[in-house]
Amino acid sequence: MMSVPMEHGMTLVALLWAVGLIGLLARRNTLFMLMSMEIMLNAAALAFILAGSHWQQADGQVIYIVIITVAAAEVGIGLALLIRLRQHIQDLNIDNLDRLKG
Amino acid sequence: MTLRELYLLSPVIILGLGTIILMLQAAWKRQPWLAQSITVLTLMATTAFLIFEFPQSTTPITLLFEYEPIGSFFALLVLMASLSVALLQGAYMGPNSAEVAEEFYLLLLLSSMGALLLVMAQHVAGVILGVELMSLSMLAMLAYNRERKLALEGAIKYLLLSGTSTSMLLFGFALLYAASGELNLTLMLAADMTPMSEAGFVLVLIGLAFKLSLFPLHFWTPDVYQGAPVNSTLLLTSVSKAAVFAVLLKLLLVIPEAFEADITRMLSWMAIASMLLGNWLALRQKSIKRLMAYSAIAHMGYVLVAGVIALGIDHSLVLEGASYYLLAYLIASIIIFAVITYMSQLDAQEDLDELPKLQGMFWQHPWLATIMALAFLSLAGMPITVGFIGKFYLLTLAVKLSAWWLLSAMLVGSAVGLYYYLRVVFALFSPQQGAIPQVAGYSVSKVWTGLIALSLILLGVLPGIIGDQLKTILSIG
Repeated sequence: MMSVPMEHGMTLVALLWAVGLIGLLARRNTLFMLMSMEIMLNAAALAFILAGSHWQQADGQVIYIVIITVAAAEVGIGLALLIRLRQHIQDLNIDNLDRLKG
Repeated sequence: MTLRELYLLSPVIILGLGTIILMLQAAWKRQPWLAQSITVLTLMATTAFLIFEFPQSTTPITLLFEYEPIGSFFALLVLMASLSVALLQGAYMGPNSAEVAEEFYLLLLLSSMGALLLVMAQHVAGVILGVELMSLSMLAMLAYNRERKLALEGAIKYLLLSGTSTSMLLFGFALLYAASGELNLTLMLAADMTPMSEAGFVLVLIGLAFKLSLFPLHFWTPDVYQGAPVNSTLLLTSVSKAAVFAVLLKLLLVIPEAFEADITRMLSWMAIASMLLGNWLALRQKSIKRLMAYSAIAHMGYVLVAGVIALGIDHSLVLEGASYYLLAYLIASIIIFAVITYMSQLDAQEDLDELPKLQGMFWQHPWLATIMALAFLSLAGMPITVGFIGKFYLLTLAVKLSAWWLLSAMLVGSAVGLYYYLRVVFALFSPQQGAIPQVAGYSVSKVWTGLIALSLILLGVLPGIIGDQLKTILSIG
């Protein structure tokens, strides 16, 4: 079986992660920011699969499953917070969250 | 897994059992005082196990965890903080709160369990599970009062930024794994360092520095601290800092020689910047929670100094210093937040933490004001308090290593810190202005706060009580 060279894979991971980061910084809608965060988490998870296949170990995939599980829990709480946000300010725009400063 | 390993895993198992019992209790019959008692008993049982079975050497528990002295000491710190939060919650919530009571204790137990897993971790999977269990349950606690708008704002900021930092942490671990083919923390760093693994290690440090709110990653701290209900803030400032610092310390102790110089330089600058910036920004704060946030940034800078020195020399002394300093910080934070907790209500839109509102507190609540003043003096590093001994340890270490830059930043930071800590103390003792609310405290939590306050003085006068213990337990590990 031909495996993907490490450099190519890591470049993909870094790009995906950068896409997530740019999304987080540029988006104003909290839901999309949450999605961008997920992209970053999944980029990191993909890196584990890549490394696992490079070393011919199953461990990378095990960690991947752990990360997916954890990310699901994170989104669960995140969406609950978004529902509260929507009820408070009828909007998901992050710029409205500016009352804490100093 | 052998029977011995299962036995050594007991702290986590006890906490897990407590969590399950609490869930069943909440499903069967809601009763806040019962939930609180179950939580306190569970935490005390865990503490008792850790004290009586304190490890003399490192024992691996399966691939993922290990039972060893450094982690166990930090686990004790974590449990002390969780116990305080559990005891304070009863009075803070009051008998007729609009929020549900049991879930707070449930989340508290889960987050202590995460912290315990984190300090015991020796494998990447253990770190991920621990960090996430701890910070996700904390996240839910930060927004526990659903009607408080500021708490929601703080929680959302924490959610987005903490997710980002977690992804950096994971990315870093993935790079280290790709370079070494090992997922064990020690073996992972023992392999040859390539540019890829160096980048990975730096990313891991950044991920951890976020949780410790060190300099370039400190922006979330004040907002989250001020927004959250004060009891959750206490948990955030104590449990998560202590547990994450334990992991950082463990990683720094096994870092390869070739990479030490670069990391020392990076961490020194982070520590210096945190100390100066944290103290500087705290000067203008009126809200005590916000002041404590900046003070946390500064104090994590001080503790990081110990981490930096750990790279240089004599590991056991450094561990002793760092542990003592963190203990001192925890004791002082618990007292300060406990006093604010007594005066505030969870159901209110805001906690009573504005300095002008607390003016002249001494004339109405002499004991509370006195211990709060003592705690602030301890944070400032005044003699006869535990904070002085902590600072003394760090200064001695820094002098020993001739780390002059670190030393001068520490001194300047302390001098600036003294000013704003004393400002709070003066405000507490100045003539009373407005009405200060009555305190509805439960006797058990008052006794506990008193004990903590007593230990603040006792450990400051007789540092040997804990210092000698620390020396023996840490030198073996």
